[in-house]
Amino acid sequence: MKTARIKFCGGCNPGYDRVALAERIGRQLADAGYRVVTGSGDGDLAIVICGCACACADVSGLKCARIITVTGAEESEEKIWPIS
Amino acid sequence: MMMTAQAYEESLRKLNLKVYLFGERIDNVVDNPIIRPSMNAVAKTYELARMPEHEDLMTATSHLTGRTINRFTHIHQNTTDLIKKTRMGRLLGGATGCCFQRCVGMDALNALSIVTFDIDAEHGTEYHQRFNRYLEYVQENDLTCDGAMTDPKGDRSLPPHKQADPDMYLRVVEVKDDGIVVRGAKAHQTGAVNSHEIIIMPTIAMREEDKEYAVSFALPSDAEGITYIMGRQSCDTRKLEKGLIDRGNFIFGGHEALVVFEDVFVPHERIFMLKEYEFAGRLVEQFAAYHRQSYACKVGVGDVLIGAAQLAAEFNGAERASHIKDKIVEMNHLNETLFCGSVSCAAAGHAEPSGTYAVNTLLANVFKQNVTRFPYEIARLAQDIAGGLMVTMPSEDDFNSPAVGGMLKKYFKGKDDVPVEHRQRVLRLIENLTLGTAAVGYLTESMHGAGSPQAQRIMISRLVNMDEKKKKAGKLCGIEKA
Repeated sequence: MKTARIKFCGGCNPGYDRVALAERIGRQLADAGYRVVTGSGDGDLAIVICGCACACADVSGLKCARIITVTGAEESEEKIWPIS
Repeated sequence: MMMTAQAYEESLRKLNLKVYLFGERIDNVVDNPIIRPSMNAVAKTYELARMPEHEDLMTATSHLTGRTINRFTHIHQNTTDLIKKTRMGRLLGGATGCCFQRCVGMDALNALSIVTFDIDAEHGTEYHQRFNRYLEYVQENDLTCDGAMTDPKGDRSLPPHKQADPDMYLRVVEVKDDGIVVRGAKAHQTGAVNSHEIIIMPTIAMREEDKEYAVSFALPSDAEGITYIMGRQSCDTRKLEKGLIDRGNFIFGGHEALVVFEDVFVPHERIFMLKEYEFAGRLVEQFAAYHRQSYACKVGVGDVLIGAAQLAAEFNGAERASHIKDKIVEMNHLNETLFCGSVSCAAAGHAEPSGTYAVNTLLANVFKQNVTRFPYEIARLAQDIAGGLMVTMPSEDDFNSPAVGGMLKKYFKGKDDVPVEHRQRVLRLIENLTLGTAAVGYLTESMHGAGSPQAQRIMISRLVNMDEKKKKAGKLCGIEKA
């Protein structure tokens, strides 16, 4: 089974509910056959959920073949939907 | 290993602190209703560190052990760390609406990591190695440290050694084979009784005559001979009332205490400066610069106050009025300007010889100078939008009274679809932040914490390069030697 990681920025002043978006993305990825885990580490795919366009999350600990950064719900639809 | 919030609370219960409040010794500090909200705020620094959606800011990798630690015990290794510290302050200020007390210990640790190295380079001492052993202990046990700098100071026109009472500045009264004995006090100690450790630093630059006062060390907060006397806060006894609404913020708060040292023994391994008076000023400046940056927390509290003001306007049906919208814009402008200052002093940081990254001192002082002013203006605008009801509203008990509760619910109704209780709650929160218990942190602490406004103006005056500015002006208008 392929592994998808969800990684967050620190959330100092997010412009939307990052946790709700992560839950939604997690369900989409699970439906698409991914094992979904949080935090840094290995995987096939990483979704980096950032609270604003600054997208300052530290991705140095992500060892994934593909890393997708999203900074809002609309953007996530565009980027995640084709995968899931 | 990082503690959970629950483990933090339990760890405090094991301390044997000597704490006085309203003239009586407090046996159970953790559950005392006046103190408890401040413990909740510190506990939040532990809780958020274990949440995936906040760990990126709240944790760091120890440069000593390589292990994941709470950022509040971290030594900044680059400007990214410094910026994350600013962001962490905003996050926690917004999450608690108050002072969460743990930044001061982080700032003391970072300042000491710089200055112990510098003292060793000059004197051939071993303070830095000793400090790193202590730091590892703090990191491994995820401890909360109180960074204690401010002495009572007595007659401000006199240096420590000329004070009528020599204890007006904390000092060494005896040097023993295995340590020192100290006497004195530290005032305005935020979060002191929620701390596992207390880190002492001198409060001013010193000369040789004051070398007995040039001392820095760390002790367990319940060391023999330490007494804590809690400060009062406006509206503090509302926390003793049975209702929650009139407290405004009924979960979180801050506290300050006078900490008295009555001939307290400090073992050698906990001493980080002993009579190296020429480094006292450097330690003060390093700590002050870090701590001035730490006031990013007020941006987070500002987020809460601006949100509360907007809600108050919406509950009244006034949110579309142009002057209300303009006031909200101004509040946001001021708040984000503060954020800019804290981010910029972090982004323009640099490595010290010890390897620790320090903030840009000039920009940190400019930022803190704005902090002494902008929260007051944001608070004024919040009170303007809130209206007079914020201070004339009857108590929660009155709203619940069978005799008069109906009248209050009828006449204090705003928009029809908004429960009166919502107006009560948000107005009490604004009251809490602008003239209640939280105003201690949001306003007066912004004024005097990490140094009063004049301290920043002195530093700004010292740090700006006036010769270069004159040269630039002279060059453009034809003056060769301006």
